[in-house]
Amino acid sequence: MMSIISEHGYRIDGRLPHQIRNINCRLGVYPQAEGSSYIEQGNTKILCAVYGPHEAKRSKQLQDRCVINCQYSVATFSGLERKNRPRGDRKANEFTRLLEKTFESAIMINAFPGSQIDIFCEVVQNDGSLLAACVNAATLALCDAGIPMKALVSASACGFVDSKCLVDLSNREETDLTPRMTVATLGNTSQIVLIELENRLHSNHLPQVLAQSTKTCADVFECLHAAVRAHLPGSVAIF
Amino acid sequence: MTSMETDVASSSRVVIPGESLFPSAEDLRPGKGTYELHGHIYSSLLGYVYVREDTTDSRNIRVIEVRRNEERHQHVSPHIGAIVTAKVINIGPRYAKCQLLSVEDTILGGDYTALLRKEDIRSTERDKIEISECVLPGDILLARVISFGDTVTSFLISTAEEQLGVVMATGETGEKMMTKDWNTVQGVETGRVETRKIAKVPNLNLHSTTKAK
Repeated sequence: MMSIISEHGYRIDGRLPHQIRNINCRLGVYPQAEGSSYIEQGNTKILCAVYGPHEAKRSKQLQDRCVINCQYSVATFSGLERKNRPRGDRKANEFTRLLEKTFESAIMINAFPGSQIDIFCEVVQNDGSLLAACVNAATLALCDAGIPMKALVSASACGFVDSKCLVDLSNREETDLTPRMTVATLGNTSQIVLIELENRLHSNHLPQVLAQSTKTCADVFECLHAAVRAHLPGSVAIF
Repeated sequence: MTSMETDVASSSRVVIPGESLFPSAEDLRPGKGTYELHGHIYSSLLGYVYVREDTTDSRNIRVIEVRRNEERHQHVSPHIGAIVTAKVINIGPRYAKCQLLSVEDTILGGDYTALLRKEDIRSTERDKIEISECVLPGDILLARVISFGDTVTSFLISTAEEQLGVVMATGETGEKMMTKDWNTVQGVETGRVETRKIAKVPNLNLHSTTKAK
């Protein structure tokens, strides 16, 4: 088996352990949605659309806040093997719940009682760190929609191999054994709104992984920050 | 509304959600698109910062707002006390079901429905109200949101004010009706007269010229 970090300290795609992949993004890709975005993190490609706030279904309405409804789906052609169904499996349902919880803490949900906001995320191409990429895509779409949020949310995935933290894992690095953690923070603060761990990680290593994750979130935040600023047309930045 | 509000500074400063705008102060208030937390006013939207002067109760308060000058992005869901424009969808013996078209001057994107109960149509002789004599399906109303309703009903709206009620009516034959006097409308083609709860819309232009003096 090929090692994940080479003897010279490089990863399979030539990155250093703490380097993230290129982030390309665009806002406002669908005219019919309130807000939408497209993000590429390396070869991971996500499309996201946001609808609402609109009146929620009677059974789902909450009197003091709005309901966040997410749908996470993976296109059948996105991975190495063709998928049978784009959503509804255990993994997809788990991601859906995590996305909902994340944005419940970021969006000013008390501003829209009895309403609902829909967030649709579609994985077009899968090259690892899907949850993190979806969170980033959804933040951009919410920003485009003009839905009030406490701050932009930025997310990153971090793995732990040979006592080194690897950030922004690609598909080949997401093996069955590597522990990997997805963390999302509010803006460039270190307030965590989402944390998820896959596989087992020794608690002694947790502070190291957590520190690296939050640092990477700050890096991703800078990319998202630049993207939303560039999106506002004719924008001139004066500090 | 008696508040005098003026835009004092429309800046070209671009902010993103979560960006700190100003430290909290006595004479600063967070307005639309902003929130206050731990002694700072933060932006909650992507947009430009505006500072507006509000001299409502003879104190000079500056209201900080973040806005994006695009109509499509004006998100408002109905709130209690708001004036809404509603279209009557159908009427029953106890209430009329309406679709909310806009809140104040913002057009609503989503579908919001509301109920206009019989006793909320006018403030006088509430027990003698007959719904079909006040509103009919297809009418456009001005109304005020009075409640979010409970779990079984949706928004409740009321037209029990002089300035609220029908502003555009559709006759039983489908023709356009113009308001004739305080409780009737007349068809533009046939001249048929029907009864409605008419809104006495104040002349807003006249109002603004008197205000300017």
